[in-house]
Amino acid sequence: MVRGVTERKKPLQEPTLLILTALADAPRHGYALSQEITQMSEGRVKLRTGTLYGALERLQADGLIAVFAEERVEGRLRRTYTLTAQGRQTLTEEARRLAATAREATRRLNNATDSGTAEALA
Amino acid sequence: MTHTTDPQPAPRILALYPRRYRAEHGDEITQLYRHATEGANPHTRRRENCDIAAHALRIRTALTSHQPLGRFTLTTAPYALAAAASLTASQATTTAAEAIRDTDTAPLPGIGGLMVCLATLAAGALACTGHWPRARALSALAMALLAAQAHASAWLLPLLATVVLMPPAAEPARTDRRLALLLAALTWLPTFPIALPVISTLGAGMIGQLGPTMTVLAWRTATKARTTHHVPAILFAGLPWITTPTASPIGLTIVATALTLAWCAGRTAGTRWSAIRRN
Repeated sequence: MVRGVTERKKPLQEPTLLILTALADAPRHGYALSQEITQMSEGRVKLRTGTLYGALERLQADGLIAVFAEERVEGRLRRTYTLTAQGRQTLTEEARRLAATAREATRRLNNATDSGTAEALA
Repeated sequence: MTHTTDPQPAPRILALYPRRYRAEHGDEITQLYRHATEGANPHTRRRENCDIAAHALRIRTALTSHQPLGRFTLTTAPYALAAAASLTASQATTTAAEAIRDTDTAPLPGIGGLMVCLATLAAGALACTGHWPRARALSALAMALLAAQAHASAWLLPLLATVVLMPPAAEPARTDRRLALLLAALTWLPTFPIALPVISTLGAGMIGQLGPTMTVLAWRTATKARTTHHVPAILFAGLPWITTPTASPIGLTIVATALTLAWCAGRTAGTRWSAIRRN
């Protein structure tokens, strides 16, 4: 989906975030991506063939990923995908946002423990 | 360069894709499918087949999230669901009011109509909280229930179909969700004075029919003045109300002028707000 600049700042949906994360360290082909996503989400997210392929097309149209290489394996064409500069920037911003939220959550939880709120509520 | 040929034929489900698309992407989809179904039980295999069939049909009907029609359904879905919920709620309100007023002569509300209303309202409530996959499933249920309805509004089917056909793994913007809720409220509220004849003309006039769509159109334009893709979405959802006064050429002119004025007002307000924010 092509989105405006303002809408790009919205939090990424989980499948999108997982696909971009799976491509952050190395280019991967479709099946490897699907395996990585299942592993990263501890089995919670399992993208089926049509859904994964649809998401890859959408991310390509959005300019977040691109085809890195095409090779023939057992007579069939296999595409490997990689993050584009825009995709890397989007993932960086999202990771920063998530990290800030996690830091704040941890800080508040620690404060609650220090002040005895957690014990009082228990 | 010599290629080794794949001994296994492509799965038959791939035949659902258009020929050109299959030639370009068939190999890759086949590989993904093979890996996903290798050693899988029949249930998993069936789900993979359904997923591929759904993707293939989306490609055939241009309903993927990166194609214009898919993007249109994505923007329209919140407003369409709001309009559908408002239509069914209005019908239920009127039937209930008649039943209360004339307990002896009024017909009892049909179970089918009530089920459609409940399914659509539940879909709307789930959509408000961002649970779009469940909202889509309930909209599909409401569509199935509508098949047995003789007196349902003809607008319900296309409105609910927009929600069902929305691309998966993508969600409408939150701004559209809130304004869709406003559209539902503004179109449903005039039902009360009509159903409980306090002021019989309130809400029945042209203002009552055009007002909600004009308000939402102006508001949405003011908040996102740079793009115009929301305009057809809001007009589509507002069709059940705005088409009533367009029977005559004068009515059509009034409707077109009113909606254009609403859009211009929203655009002007949006530009001013942007200028104020910049300063």
